Amino acid sequence: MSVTGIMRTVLRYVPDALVPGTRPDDERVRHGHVGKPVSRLDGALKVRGQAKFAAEVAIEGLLHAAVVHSTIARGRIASLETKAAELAPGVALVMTHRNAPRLKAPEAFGEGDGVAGSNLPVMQDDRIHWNGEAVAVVLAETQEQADHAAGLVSVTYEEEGAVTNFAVAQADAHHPDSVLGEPAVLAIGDAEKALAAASHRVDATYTTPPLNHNAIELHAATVEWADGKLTVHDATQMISSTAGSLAKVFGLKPGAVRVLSPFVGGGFGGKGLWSHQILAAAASKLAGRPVRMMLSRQSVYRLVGGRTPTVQRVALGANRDGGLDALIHAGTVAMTTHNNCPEQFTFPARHLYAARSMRLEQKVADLDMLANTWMRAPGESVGTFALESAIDELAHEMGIDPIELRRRWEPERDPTSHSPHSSRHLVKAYADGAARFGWDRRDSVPGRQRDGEWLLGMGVATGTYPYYRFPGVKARVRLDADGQVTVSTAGHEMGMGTATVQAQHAADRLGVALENVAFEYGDSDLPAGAMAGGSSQTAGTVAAVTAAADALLAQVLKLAGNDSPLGGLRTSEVVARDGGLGHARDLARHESYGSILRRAKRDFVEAEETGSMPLEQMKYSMHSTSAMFAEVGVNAVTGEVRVRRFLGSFDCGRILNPKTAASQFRGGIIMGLGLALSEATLFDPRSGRVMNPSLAEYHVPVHLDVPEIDVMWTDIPDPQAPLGARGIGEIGITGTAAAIANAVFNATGRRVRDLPITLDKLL
Amino acid sequence: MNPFTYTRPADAAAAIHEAAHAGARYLGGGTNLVDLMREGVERPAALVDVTGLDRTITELPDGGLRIGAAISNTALAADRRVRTRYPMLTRAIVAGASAQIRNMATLGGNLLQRTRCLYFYDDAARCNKRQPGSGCDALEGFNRMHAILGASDACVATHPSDLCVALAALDATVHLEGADGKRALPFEALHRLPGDTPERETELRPGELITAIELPALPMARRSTYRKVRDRASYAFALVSVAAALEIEDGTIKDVRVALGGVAHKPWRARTVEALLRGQQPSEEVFRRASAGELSSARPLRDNGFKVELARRTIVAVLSQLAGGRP
Amino acid sequence: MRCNAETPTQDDIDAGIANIVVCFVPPRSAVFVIFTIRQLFETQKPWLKGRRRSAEFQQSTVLNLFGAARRPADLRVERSRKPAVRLSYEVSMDFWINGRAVSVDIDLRTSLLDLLRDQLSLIGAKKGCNQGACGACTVLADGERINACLALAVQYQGREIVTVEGLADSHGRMHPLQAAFVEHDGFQCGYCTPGQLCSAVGMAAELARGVPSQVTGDVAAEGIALSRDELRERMSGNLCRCGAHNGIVAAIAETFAEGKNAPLDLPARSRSGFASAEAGWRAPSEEEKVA
Repeated sequence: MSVTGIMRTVLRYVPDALVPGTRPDDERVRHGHVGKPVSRLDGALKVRGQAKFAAEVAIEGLLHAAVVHSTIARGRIASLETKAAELAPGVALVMTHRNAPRLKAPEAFGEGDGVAGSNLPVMQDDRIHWNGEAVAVVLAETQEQADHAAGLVSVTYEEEGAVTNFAVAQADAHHPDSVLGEPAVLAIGDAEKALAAASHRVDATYTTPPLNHNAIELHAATVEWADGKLTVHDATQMISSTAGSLAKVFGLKPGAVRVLSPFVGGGFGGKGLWSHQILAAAASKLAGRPVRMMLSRQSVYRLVGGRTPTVQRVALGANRDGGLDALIHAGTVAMTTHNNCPEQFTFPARHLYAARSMRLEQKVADLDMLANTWMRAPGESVGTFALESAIDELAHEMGIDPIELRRRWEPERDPTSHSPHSSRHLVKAYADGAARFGWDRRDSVPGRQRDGEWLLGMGVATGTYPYYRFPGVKARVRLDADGQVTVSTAGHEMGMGTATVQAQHAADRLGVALENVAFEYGDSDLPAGAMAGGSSQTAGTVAAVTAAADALLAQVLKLAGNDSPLGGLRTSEVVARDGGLGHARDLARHESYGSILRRAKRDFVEAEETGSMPLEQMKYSMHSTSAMFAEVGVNAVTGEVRVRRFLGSFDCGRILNPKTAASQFRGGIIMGLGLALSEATLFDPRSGRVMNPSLAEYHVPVHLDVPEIDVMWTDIPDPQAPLGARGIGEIGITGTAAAIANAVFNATGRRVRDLPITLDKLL
Repeated sequence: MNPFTYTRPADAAAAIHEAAHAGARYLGGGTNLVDLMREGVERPAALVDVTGLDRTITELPDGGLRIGAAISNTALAADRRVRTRYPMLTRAIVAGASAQIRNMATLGGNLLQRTRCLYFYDDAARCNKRQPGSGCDALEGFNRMHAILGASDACVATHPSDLCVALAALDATVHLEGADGKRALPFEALHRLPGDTPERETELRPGELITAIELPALPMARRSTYRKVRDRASYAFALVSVAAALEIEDGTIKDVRVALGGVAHKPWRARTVEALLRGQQPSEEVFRRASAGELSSARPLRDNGFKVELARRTIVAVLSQLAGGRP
Repeated sequence: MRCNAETPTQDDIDAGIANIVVCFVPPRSAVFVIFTIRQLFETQKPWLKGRRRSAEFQQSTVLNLFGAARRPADLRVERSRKPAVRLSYEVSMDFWINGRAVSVDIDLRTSLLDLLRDQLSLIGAKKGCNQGACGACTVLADGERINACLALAVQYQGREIVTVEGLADSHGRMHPLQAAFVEHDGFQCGYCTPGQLCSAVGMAAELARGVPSQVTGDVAAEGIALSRDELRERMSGNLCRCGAHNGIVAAIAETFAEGKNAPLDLPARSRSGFASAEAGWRAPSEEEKVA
């Protein structure tokens, strides 16, 4: 048994009260603001066009940057002619590997405290590692001049044999050292044998294409050096760690780099540390002037990784009663030797169903390509497509309703870790969703429902995403004598509703009105915050704010002293309410913060704390789940697929703000709709080059593709999660593609196992 | 983007004079040209802005319309006479691009828009259209969007316009003006098939300006339509599109117009379909035979074989719809 | 480089932390945790202790000054179109933007979008693709929505340009559509939002004029009903990656339901004529003028 396995086992016998992180939601906190559909607090700024994004920070003397990209996948630069570009009007600098400052290679995600997409050195030598790698940066007075001059840089290459064909590279696929800390191979019993002996079997291969995040905001960094310090106005979802990583790359002391990112125009996993921030800072250093690098859409495709393609086998074997005797989920994804993102597509199978035997296996095939990366629900999004499609196939073959089949497989404990669930209500989510969606109106025989040219079908699938809370998240809470509360943490607001929800939380936690709370975020000079990833930011931030608020309130109670109505009370006996502290039960005993602070002659009190160690996720199996329902029309003439209705029924713990939460759920579902029907990055296996680096030829859903999307939730608080809430940013995309694919099957009798389900696959 | 000079002439004669300069290009709404200039595919030395020229629609004595080439797509689509007399044209226009682009784009510019072939756009790829003689990376590459009719070994690109498909079906006339004077071309003769010279996309002479389009009086076009099939519900280029009009008299097909988009280097007038249908009694079977006849010469590539079946089916569906009296 | 929680990192401290990670953190998150724990240690350092407010958090409201006085809709104001004239490489151009006259010397290659964003600090119009494929740059030109990224600025001289900054009324009150976007949560990150707003205003005018769309049943008919499908189709030129489509459509439907609100009265042109350095807009710096 592994160390972690031992820890899990030990923790199972330790009472919650002794395990940091468990039972975190203090019952003394009222939920006057939490749970209310508060409109987002930064809404007015955004609709007025006043929210200032990374490329919109004005600095005197700014230079604009353009990038020249390699056109081969592997080899070295043979010649590099920059003269014409240097002489072009307005050009201040052409940076290549020959004159770039000497820099340390960034650490990739998983290495040390690195967060870079790749650990390759940036523009330090003549080596080329992928088709599209930056070979030169041009700085000029205007963007037009920089773009023009970039076209004047001429480069020739000595090409070396590159591995750019995923189909071919699969022959050399290998197990990664781990899949985000989990073993690459996990076996319970002999699944192949059980499969062979099963009365009902499905054994099929599913494929998903490379995908790109395509946040509408282009990646951008506006950088400035002053007194040896670097300021980066970045579009990032990992502020604190980006600052730390950049400091290392440039050989600076921690703290010499400040990253600001108050607004991010969509991230979805793609707004991390890539080469462009490093290039912008290096070029700025060289030119001695501030630089704005706003990547073109094409440059985003060439420099910022996306979701890797997958080939997945799912085999299921069931006995006559519908019990799951065998579950095999195995496959391969493309990766590089300079990153570590193995797209954990087997994770859903590790936690969803009670299988008597199981074999889960992940391999990676190394390609000479831009490093792939996290994209909304990495693993679970594409993993649920394969797994949940296969379950639908099995249910059809067995003649059992697919919801009923899943109900029979509902596990009592986590099927692989054997830990108890902190809170799991998937069966309820299915029941509630089925009733609302009208699942009983589905005809289980495919191809029988029709509306004119359109064949109609319904499909269902499970979505799932883990609860994550990372340690080390800090927050500072300040209370001013006028009753104003300021919560500070270097967190992120990319539209998830962070600023709004955290203000709601702080208002309840401190017992003040929402108007009296300011939430500071988006600046690495603030206490190190949670990254906006793994749907973890809300839980991580709430835990940190809770710790800081507790410390603050203890200080306040101490300041109140014996002359206060609170005199003699212990912290466990008081609650924050009505703009001050009060006795938990005796409503008469209360004193306002202003009164306490004035008497103590204090202008303000503040406390900074780190959130509790997140051991709750070790003691318990903590996962959100959902039941996803789709109704599609498939055009009998053309094969076009339109989603007519969609319902997501979620079990994600307590919903902190129904308005912003609904948007998170819908956003995930709509990205899943694109995954199902239209999105694919065209990676040319001959050249290793992305051939559709454009929003015109990469088809994200448009308004007309998006029907009314209904969302509902159990709203059952998770007793082990801060505020009872598990993250909700990613679960929406999971299960969606399978629900749609299953609906397409129900409409047509055609099973499409290769995403996206474009019309040619249904003709 | 390369530097360029810019002029905005007040009349056609001045524009043609300006366009005589080396490297000059006419500029309409810029929705295609500006994009290609940014990509480095187009590098004009001079832009002659013709959006100030004729944008009016005038009635012709026989009931047809003469449309100034500077008219915006939106204005053309929304014109009451166009909507009632040539609904396929309105439908084709509003099936294209986005409202924003249709507001900017001009009729003349639409005729000259260039292919969306991925290898044409990427200057790291080989493309005979962009760089004659360099080869064609689309032949063995991603060619799902590409031509199944009339292509060559040199080029398998498609013409991306929707509007042009309707003009091909409507027997429009293109009015041109150049240094040598004025002339008119049947719309079908404007665009070329790629052959060995895919860089030559039209029969326009150097410096020649499209001044107007004439739509002939065509009563049958009142019952016409346009159907576009694509990879998302809106704002995407056609995989296959069909513009069609059908005139049935005494139970037989008196006249029929069919043109296809997304299948060839030019808007494809489906003459075979038309020939096979004239004088026939309309039925799905007859439509099926006619469309199969048109597609019998199709030469699909690795990824676009589905277009043959898709085109067949869409033609049948559109003609059946028109035969059934639905617009 | 493969991440492995058991592998000690650069120095002893790191190695120690890595071991802590293995013991106390669920393994799947171990890779993330190494750096966050290190952060935890590092951020104890005094350089991060000070209380500093984020300057960027305090948003400037200077742009609101562009919401100039309104006047009845009258699009046929005289144009300052110039006669045919060969222009040099960089030229002086005159624009009407949100009711103000603006005169700038710019590169002929400058798009209307870059003019707004880089020269005039009107950052409301967004750059999402710079190729007419996303609609984030949508602004109104004489009341018609266009993609400012594909528009060469030189072609839009003398035309009435309205950006999202010009949608509010002269008192700075939001356009009803802006308020509806907030109420219906018609956005998340807010980046496509200005384009969606301008596009919707232009769309409402198109609907009122009877411009048909591809989902219009009978294109020859007079008058088009404001159905959800019409709205969806007509807004399809504005991509939203966060997935706020439902909220956007709901906000537009509510705002422009049966004569409830006029699309927009274009702001009146400033009576003061061309001015280059009035409050609320920044003149291009010398650097920006360099040829």
